[in-house]
Amino acid sequence: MLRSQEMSLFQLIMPRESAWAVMDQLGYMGKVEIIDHDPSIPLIARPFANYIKRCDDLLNKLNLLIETAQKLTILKQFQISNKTNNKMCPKIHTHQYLDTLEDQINAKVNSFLELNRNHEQLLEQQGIIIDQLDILQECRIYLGDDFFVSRDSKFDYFIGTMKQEEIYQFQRMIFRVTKGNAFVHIKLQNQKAIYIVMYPDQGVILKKKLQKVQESMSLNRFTLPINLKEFDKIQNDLTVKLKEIKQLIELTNIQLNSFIQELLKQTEGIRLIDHYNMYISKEKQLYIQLNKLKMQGNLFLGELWIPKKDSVQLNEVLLIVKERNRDIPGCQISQKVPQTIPPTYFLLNEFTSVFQQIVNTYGIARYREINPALFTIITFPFLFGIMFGDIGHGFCLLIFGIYNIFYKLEPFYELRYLIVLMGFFSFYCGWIYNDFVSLSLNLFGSCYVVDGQLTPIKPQDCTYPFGLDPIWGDNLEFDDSFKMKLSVIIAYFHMCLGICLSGCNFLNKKDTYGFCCKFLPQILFLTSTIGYMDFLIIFKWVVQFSPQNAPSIINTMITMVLSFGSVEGPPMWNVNSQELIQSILIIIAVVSIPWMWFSHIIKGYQVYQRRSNVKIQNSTSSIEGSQVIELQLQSIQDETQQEKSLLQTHDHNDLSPDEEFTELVVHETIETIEFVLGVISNTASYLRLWALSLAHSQLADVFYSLILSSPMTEGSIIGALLRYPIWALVSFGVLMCMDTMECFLHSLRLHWVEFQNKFYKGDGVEFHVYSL
Amino acid sequence: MDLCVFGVDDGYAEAIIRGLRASFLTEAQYQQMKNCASIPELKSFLEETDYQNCLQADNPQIPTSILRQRLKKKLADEFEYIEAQSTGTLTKYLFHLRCRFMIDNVVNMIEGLKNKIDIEILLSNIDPLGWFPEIKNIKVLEGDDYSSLYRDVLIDTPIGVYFMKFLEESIENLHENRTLNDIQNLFREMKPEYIRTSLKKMWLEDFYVFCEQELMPTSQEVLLELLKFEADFKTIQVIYNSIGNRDLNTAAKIITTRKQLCPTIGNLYPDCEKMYLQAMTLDTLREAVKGCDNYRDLLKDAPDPLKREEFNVQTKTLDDIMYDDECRRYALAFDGQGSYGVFYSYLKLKEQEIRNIIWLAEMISRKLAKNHPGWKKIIIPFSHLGK
Repeated sequence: MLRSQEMSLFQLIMPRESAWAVMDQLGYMGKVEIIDHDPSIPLIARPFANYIKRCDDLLNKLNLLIETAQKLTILKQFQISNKTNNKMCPKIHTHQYLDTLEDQINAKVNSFLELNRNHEQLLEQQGIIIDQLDILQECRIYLGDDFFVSRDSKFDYFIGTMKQEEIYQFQRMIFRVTKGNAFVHIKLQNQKAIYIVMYPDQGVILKKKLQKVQESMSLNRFTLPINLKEFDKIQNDLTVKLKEIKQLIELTNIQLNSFIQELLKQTEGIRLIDHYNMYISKEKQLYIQLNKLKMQGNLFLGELWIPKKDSVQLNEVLLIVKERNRDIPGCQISQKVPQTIPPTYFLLNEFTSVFQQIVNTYGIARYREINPALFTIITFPFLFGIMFGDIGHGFCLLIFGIYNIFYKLEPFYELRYLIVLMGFFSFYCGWIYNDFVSLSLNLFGSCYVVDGQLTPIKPQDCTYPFGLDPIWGDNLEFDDSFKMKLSVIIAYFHMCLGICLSGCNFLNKKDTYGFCCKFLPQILFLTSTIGYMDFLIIFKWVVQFSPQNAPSIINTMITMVLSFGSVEGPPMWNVNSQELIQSILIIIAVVSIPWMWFSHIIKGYQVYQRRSNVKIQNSTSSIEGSQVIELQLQSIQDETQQEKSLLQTHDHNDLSPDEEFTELVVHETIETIEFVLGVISNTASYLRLWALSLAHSQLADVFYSLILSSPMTEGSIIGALLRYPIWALVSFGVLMCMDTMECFLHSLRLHWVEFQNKFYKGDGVEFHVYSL
Repeated sequence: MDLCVFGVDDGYAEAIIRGLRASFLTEAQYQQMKNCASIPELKSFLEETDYQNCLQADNPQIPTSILRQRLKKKLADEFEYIEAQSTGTLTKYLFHLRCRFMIDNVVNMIEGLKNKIDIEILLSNIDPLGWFPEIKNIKVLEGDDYSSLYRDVLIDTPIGVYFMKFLEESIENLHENRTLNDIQNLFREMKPEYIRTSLKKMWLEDFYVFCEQELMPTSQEVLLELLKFEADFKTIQVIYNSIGNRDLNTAAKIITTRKQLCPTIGNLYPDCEKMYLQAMTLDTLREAVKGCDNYRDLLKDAPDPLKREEFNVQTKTLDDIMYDDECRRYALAFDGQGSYGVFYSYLKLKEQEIRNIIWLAEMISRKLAKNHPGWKKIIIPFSHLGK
């Protein structure tokens, strides 16, 4: 966790025949990352694009099947279960299985869709028949029995059904075409509209035109029976037909149902459809990975990263492949020296992953650089706690976190351990501040005696056992001074930790020069300024001063810087020794600035000189035997290669030495200025700890005194009961929700900016494990 | 001032359009498309772009007509979504944009019915952008009786106004003592293309007035400029196409027809009207438009319409030249802030993109050699801005 896993690079060479089997096993191993040999190649141009397409098609078909089934309400609330563990994944190690599966699925889906189509057709027929029956009935009611008995031939009729939303359009059209000489009767029924159009029989043209209107607008058209006898006959026929169709529909429904049941049948603990789905998803993943390999004739060339400690396993896996498939040629594997920076891989668990996530959001750690996530586990909730410190609110948060661990509460489930720790630390800090929803608890008995005097008297040898004495409860001035000083002290230690981690990074890289010229001056500068101030704060807490003799820390620090270590006003201890120490500290601070500024520039300048010498030599002696020069160049290049990492010119390889050097100067200057200013401004930035904690307690105080305190002091129980929910809601909304967010964000900022900028490069590449 | 309040009502719609900007194919993608060897390959390429969803259900050997339909459907869906998100003036404005497609659809239907093409085929080929419920009733059309078509069907439709105006104008142009027979003859001889051009002219003029009266100054500034150009483009096209046209045999007839078809807006009208109406050769046309903008430069490369028979695929026709210039203008308008120009440009540029894809699909399906000049005949939206 402190550093990312060491990675090794392997080259994989395998013939086409065994490629599938090897990749299959590697996928099940789940420890490697296959490197894409050329990410710029589009998917179509890759060798296995059609396989991926096939898998996609099959997945689509399965989805289609499920969707249609859901529409038919055969399947309710069906979900393709996700792969939860490896055991559920089908263990079929032949790639021909895809072909059989493809056939199976195709056959199944096709027959299902065929059935469905039948079903739909039947339903449609049923609809038409029902419409016809309805319309016949309507005609009978509307036109009356007499109509069928003695029919007037002067009029012609159209009957049929249409969509309800087109009624007005239809009426208008009829009106226009017949110039108002038609009568339209419309009745709404079953989301459709039944129409009966009656118009005078005036010749073929009009009839034709009306027919066209009818054609273009109606869903179904029917002819009106001529007499009652025919009417009855048609009606009877239709009812018989309807019965038949209903039976048929029933039948297809049963078929469809049994079809789905077959898909849901469990074999070896998984449903058939899940089996299909998982296998195809797996296959798709596998082909995506296979696509990353380079194909040369019949051979696949691939490179892969694997954690060093797992590399033994890699060989075992390949042996398994050989044993399983004796008839195909095996593959070869060889370790290579990596040319690129290996990816960053941390072994994480449920607890650490959320903290790693906090760090990763800022940037992925560089390979083998110290991972701040390890420290974040404690410092993050702790800084949060300082800001959120309150016994009551902290306890609520803690309980919420614990509840989340046992009962899954979706959006917060991932954050559960973070919330628990945040809750715990705010609970703890609440006890330190002795702040319970803005009230001070007097559990152990205050040491001060309030005796009707203005200033309470404190007996000598009494200390409040834990946290602040409740007598200070409402004293804002005391709170301010305490929390402000506390945040400055924490600032020093937190930043110090950051700088020390940068020292560890230098040591890990065996970069003693960097250690001496970056880490040492930085930590000295920080300690001699902010460190000294913290010392003064603690010193003043520990030693008792009489009010008129008490030295001011601010004044001490200002005069120390302005007048070179001299002391004005009352000294902390002995004037002489304090002045001596202060001037030494000033000297250290001043010296460390050029120390960290110029050391790398000087080194860079030497390299630059040497290189330009080489160039001159190179150009003068180019006529002579070039071999010698090449050798010379080689040795110098090797040297410079090592120095390059020192130069911190990350990827400016294409720059000329001149530019490289100026770049270095600018870089170092900016970095130094940033650090020196940063020591002051970052310390000031930590004062947000004080400000937010103050804001929290003051808000709690305001809500309490405005809403709850008056009925409680008056002793009216009803008033208190009525106001309590308001107070609880406001407290929940503002303090538990908004303030939690706010403190979280500020804690995040302190980590990302103030802490991580001291050492964290965060420009690594994440390790994407290939796992089936 | 209107920039301050633009976002209040139209900010969301504009934001969506701006987001859709990312869906335009890039030059590199066009290059890849050109490298596709077959239609299935082209389709699977398109499935990796923004067109993914609209093509998935089709089989790989997709005919170009269906391909076009799918692409247009996607554009129409996007447009409809934006329309649904719009309010007030923007809704009206977007509706006006749609009218152009409706005119196309109606004229296509009329043309199809005249040629006795089945209505189902016609309905499946209509542009989804210009769909309106009454369109299927055009079937009622009997022979060339446009006035009854108007009376029965189009009177309700959004483009009914244009159609009415068109009918009135065409009848008015007949001599005084006209008979019913004359009118019928008139319509019988009328080409659908003629109807289309006149309707579009009316639409353009109407749209111009709408923009002038109802839109805010920033939108006006952008749109009027675009519309003026479009009107000029139409004018030049009409003149250009009528040069040496055999159907129009007398000079007087040419001039009256031209006068009817040329929009009465734009930079050329009315200053150059007299000159361009008289222009009978390409050179005189060039001379007529020289006073305006860069039209002369545009016409410099246009092939002579009198040698129409010699044109082939390689010829860069007037349309190509105009589209190219148009594309540049639309891309510029698209990048302008706080105006309704984006919606217009988006439609136009997407249309161009669809044209490109279809063109390439045609080229691919005909298996033309890769060095064929036709491959270069696409105009890539936004490619002008990079230079």
